Amino acid sequence: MKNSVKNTLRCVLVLSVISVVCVALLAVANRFLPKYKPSLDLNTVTLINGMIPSGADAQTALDEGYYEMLALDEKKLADFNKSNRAEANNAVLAVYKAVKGDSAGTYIVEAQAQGYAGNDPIVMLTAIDESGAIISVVTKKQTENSPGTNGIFEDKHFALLVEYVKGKTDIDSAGISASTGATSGYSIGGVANAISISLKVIPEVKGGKL
Amino acid sequence: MNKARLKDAALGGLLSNPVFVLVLGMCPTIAQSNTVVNAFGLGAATAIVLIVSNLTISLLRKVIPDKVRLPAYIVIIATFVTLVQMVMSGLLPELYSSISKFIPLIVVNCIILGRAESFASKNDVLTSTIDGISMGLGFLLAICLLGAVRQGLGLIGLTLFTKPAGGFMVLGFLMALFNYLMKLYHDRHKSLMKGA
Repeated sequence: MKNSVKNTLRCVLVLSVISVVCVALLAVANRFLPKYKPSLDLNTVTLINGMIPSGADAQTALDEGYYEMLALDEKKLADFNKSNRAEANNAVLAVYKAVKGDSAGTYIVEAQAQGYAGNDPIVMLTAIDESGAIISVVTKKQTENSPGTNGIFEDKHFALLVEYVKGKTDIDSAGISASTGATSGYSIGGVANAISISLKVIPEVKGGKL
Repeated sequence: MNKARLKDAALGGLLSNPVFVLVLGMCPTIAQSNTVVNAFGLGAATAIVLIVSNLTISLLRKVIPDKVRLPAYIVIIATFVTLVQMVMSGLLPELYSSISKFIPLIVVNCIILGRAESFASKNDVLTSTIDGISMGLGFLLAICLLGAVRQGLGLIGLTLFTKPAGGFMVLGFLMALFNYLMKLYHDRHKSLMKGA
């Protein structure tokens, strides 16, 4: 009896120690490994230019400063994200503004939200006009689908999504699902949450609160 | 240190190739060998996890009680898979987005758990590490070869072979070819030994 209790305790102790060491290792790695940071690089400018043509090609738009990344207060942005997020990973990452070209005055919000659990969050770019209505959306980063599909859903569904969101100041998953015919529920939820929080941040930015 | 055992461990990846001979880890092998780049990415991730987990499990083999060996192995393997996933998503985002769904599955890949249970838990650190390197390289080469053949056939218009069904066909053919060549090698080796 004593031996069996001793053995059981030993098993529990060894498993616990191994688990603690593994968790500590992962925590240290998480601290030091590079994480995704938004930046106004050529890839981002190409995506923005595709949504809201500036009249110049992406390289020219980048070189001549057609778009700028707004300097937001990090603490205020974190507070905003905490108050407005639909779930833990839902956040505005950056806000850009078109300052030159055909689309001057347009805001572009880079926001993320969780699609399928276990995947990295979906990162969307949402172009919003001065009145707060959506002009267009594009996916910047996602791991929802296998390569070969353009965006979160199949091409035809994503094209319907872009048409659906145009001019809207408020969207939800049900609307996206009904209008696009896409069936990947978690991905739709992620897209809806990313776009929703993008719409919410613009009044804060325009009001100088961030 | 037993030199014969070390030699067996070093040649294990070729003579007991995990894909063509042991037929382990078939799910990621078929699913992610549609292009060479994806095959290399997943093969390298699996090989790294295999080497490091073999080393660690061999180091801890006398400490881990028999009753909890499988949960302990899974925790260790899952930790290394998570580390590989974090490194890949940070440093190789484009490759990561192609193969991200199959990285977590490395935890339950039969090759990793199979070698941990049957080899690393019963052998010393050096032999286990060499076995991990050999098996890892064997898996990497096999999946890359499969990827190259499938992608090559796809490029000349035979797109069936880039789909899963075609993948099975190519795998079967390569498996048959590999085992035939191994048989020729073994027969020649035997006749040389008899001659000597």
